[in-house]
Amino acid sequence: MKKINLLITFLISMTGLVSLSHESHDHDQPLTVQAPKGGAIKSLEETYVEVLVKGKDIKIYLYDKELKPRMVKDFTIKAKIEMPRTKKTEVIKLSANEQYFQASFDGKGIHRYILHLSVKDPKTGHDDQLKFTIEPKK
Amino acid sequence: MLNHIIRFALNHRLIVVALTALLVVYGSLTLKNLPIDVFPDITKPTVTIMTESHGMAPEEVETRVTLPMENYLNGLPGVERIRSQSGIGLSAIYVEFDWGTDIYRNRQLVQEKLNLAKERLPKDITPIMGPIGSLMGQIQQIAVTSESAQIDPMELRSIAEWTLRPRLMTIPGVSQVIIIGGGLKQYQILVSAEKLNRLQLSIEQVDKELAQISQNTTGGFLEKDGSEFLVRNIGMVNGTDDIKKTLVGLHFGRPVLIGDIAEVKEAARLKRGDGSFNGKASVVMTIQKQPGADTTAITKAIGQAIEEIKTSLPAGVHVNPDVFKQANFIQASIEGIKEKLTFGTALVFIILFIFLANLRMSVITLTAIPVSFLVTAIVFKIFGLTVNTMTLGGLAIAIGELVDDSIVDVENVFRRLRENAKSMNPLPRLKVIYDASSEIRNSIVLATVIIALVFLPLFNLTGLEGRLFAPLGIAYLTALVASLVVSLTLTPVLCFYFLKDKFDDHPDTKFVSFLKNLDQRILNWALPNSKIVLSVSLVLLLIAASLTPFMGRDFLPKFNEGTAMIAIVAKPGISLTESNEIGKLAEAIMLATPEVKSVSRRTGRAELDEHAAGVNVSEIDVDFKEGGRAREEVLNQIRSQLKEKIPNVGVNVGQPISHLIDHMLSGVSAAVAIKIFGPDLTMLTEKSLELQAAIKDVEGLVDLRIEQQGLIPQVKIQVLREDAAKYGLSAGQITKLLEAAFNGETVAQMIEETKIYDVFFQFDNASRGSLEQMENTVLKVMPDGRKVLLKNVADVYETTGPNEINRENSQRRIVISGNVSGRDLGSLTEEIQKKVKEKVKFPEGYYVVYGGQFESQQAATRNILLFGLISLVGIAFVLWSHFKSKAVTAQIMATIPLAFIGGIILLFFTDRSITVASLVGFITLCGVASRNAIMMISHYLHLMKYEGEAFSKEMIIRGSQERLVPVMMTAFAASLALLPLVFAKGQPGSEVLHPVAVVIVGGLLSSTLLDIIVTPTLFYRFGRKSAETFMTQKENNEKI
Repeated sequence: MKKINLLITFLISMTGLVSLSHESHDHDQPLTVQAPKGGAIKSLEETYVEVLVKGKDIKIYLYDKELKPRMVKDFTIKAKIEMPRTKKTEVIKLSANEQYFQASFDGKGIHRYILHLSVKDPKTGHDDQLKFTIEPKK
Repeated sequence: MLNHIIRFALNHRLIVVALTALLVVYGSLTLKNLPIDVFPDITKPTVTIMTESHGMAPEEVETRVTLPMENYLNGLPGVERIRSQSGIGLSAIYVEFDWGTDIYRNRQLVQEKLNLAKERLPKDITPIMGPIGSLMGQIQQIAVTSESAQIDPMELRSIAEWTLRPRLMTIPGVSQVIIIGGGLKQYQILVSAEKLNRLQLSIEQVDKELAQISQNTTGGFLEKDGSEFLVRNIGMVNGTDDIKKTLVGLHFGRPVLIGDIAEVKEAARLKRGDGSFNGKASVVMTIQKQPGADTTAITKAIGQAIEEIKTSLPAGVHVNPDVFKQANFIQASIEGIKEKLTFGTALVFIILFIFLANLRMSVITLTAIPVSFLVTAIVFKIFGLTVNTMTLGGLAIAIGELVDDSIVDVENVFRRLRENAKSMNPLPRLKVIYDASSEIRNSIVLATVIIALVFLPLFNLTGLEGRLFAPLGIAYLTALVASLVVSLTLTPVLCFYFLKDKFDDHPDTKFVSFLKNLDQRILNWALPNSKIVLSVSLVLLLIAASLTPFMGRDFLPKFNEGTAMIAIVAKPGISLTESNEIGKLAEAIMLATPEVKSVSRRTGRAELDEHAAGVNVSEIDVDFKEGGRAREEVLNQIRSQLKEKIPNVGVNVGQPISHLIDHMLSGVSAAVAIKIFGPDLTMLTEKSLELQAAIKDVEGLVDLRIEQQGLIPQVKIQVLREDAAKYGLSAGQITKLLEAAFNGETVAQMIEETKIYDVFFQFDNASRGSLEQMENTVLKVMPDGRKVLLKNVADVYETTGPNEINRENSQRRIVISGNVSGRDLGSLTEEIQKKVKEKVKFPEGYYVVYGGQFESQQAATRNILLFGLISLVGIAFVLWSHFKSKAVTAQIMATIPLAFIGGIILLFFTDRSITVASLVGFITLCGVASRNAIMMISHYLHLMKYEGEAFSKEMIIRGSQERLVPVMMTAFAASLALLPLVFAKGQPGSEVLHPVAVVIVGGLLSSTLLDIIVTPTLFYRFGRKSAETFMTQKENNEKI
């Protein structure tokens, strides 16, 4: 009986952890959402995250479900870059202004890299993980 | 010279009658054989270049295919605009030339440039020019459906492709038959990557062997027994078994056949489009005609061909030729106008009879109508014009005026004959008729010259409006000139033959006497009170002018085509299957509407189709039943239901021909096209979304959507050159092999009787169904037996990319489009421009251009006003050169604004919108209105010069009374002839002519009623000096 209780406790605690750490789940069909800035957009429970990359500049915009801009300063976002074949990662520093988060990364001629974002939404309290494939030369 | 003509006609009466009879017979025969169409040829000379660019993404198509060609095409003489669309594996370039340029010369110029551009294009990519098209080219749709379970979609498509299409293509005038739906049969070799792997074969090897799978060669000749035998080496495949038995390589010395590594089957080619009819999957055939071909004749021939072929089709196959027929619209339009012409003619006859109270005079006058019409038909034939709503409209507008010249002539001849009969020394009848005809010939010719002058703006209109209204002008002027010739020749001759009454017994009718008495009473008061008369006229003019700001502005009135074309645009990136489901749902919504008779849908793009629509686009043609609610109401209901039940799609509701016209004007199938130009696609998308948000609440703006540019999911295989080199593979080798494996290629053709099917090679689904399977594709087997997998030499990953890139005049652009409902285009566009200016800021290098009907409306209005002013100056000059008096010229010109009063007021209470058509009405009015004043003032001067009258109130009253009947008759005849068109608002074929008729009828009523008072008053107040000057002028009278 003790073992069963332990197992249940373990399962419940794991469920809690999972709910606090989401992996890139689109709550809407991705094709139905038009990114307001024309970039790549992904959906979280209460937020849309749009990433716009031009050369070395990376900009991250946050919107509510009506695609209205959300207050950037309320969010905590961490970002890291992963190289495709070597799997090497590099943490990049994001700075926030009123409209977006921004960072700079020089891919040194690479055809793509993966941008991992860890987004803490103040509304849900969840810490979600998102993955964007970036093609800096495009 | 004019007197010579009248004299010749009267001296050679039988020749005139015989020539007229000849013209009538020849004209009738010509009229019967004239081609019939709904509109004049309004196709802008456009050359379409389609370039299939296998497997390329839109960005690559743009930079490697579209751009090099655009660079060469820019600067071609006569080019107005170059538009392009770079989609997945397809580049479509539309080179639009100036109106009036020769399409064959344009094609020659384009071909020369394409030959040069080809060297800059990737290997094996060949641009192809589309056939010469016509805007009204898509004349019919045919649905082929099956009720039999034994006939699958592929069989149905084969019937359409190999039985129906060849028969339809033989019909003279048919240029193309485009087929969508069903499944295009092909023989597929679906290679298993796993089996290939197991048998240690590479794609490279398989690809090389399959290139020779089906070949016949010649073995020269063999001489034997004195005969010569042709030697043929037969290697063609004859079915799936033959294909399976073909060798592709060796495995440990054992032959490997295609059957060992692949599944070989008959299957449908990969679809990029589909069709359906009334919600049921079907094959939809679109028939295109050659430019200038007779639509109704082709439609009839198609109907006959289908009837003939029906019996040979398998049981359960239905061919419905009545899905969409442009001929129905043409027939309804032409019949409608013909009815109005007949009714108008009847009304003219009634008016003549009421005023003249003489059957013979009425018949003589009426003769001008058929004779002028038939002469016009002969001129149509000479100039290659068709019978269409605009040319018939020109005749409808002219009906009333055709009898004008004859009315004036017959009335004057009759009056002079009556006076002659009362005279103590009567002159010979022939001499009286000559004098009477000669007396009024100057004013008749002058009026006709002025009417011709006012039509000059129509011939200077550029663009669509010019193509529409120039034939109307030609028809109108030809008929009018013909009627002038009739009034100078046939009318006097007929007067000689038929007016032989005892004229002293023929006083005015009671009605005419009443009018003359009334006129006398009014003029007795008005002439001394000129200030009041002129002030009242001015006030009326100001009231009318104050109504114009309350009227809307549109380009052309809305057409009533009888059918609708509804486009459903899903998000780019959607699959054909999903798009089909959306299309089916939309069809179900439409079919549930009680007024809808049938729907036919085309989703995506058919092979051979120049209309490069993505699989996310469905175009649905809707046909309606007779009766029911108003069309606007029905379409609004369909629109709102579609939006409610199918969220996240764009809906564009229009009509087939109107859509094509919009597309021709702006490259967009909508009435309003806002184009943002700039270099970066992301920024263009951002600005288009901002602009959409800024204008979405503008009242009357419907079907608002952004062009279908967006990001679609892609799988990219990035070749890593260094890694590939380690295995002796180049990037080019890898991409070529992968194209064959994943995209597939046609390696041969199979012939079955006279049908030709492709033999197609591709990896099977299991070998390319996932990223992992793709990554594990064996590219090469090394000499030591090691296999080189795709993942060893390339990075395979998911990403996104644009679905298409559109360009115009060498710049990237995105379009925000919409339609107008319940509001005029002018005010709507003004509001849009204001909101965009306030709310959307464009970065450097980005700008917005407003196109669509609005652009054309502004250009047309500008042109009409400019050339209208030039015409007015021309009229003033002609009047001055005739009367040699600035005052008389000014008095006649002053009557033109009087006509505008009625035109504006009637337009305000009917259409409440100023269109290019109503402006044409005002132009026509200038000529017709000045005619009355010319007749009136000419007669005053005649009385003074030839009948001894002095400039006095009595002379003016006498002159006015004598001219009252012809003035009122011509005005009533012209107005009543157009009355059927005034009541034909929105009827098929009368859409463009209705506003023209409204303005002319309103204007004629006001100008006639006011002219009767204002012209004599003006002349009485300001005309004395000019009349006396005119009297002193010398004139050479011609005598018979």
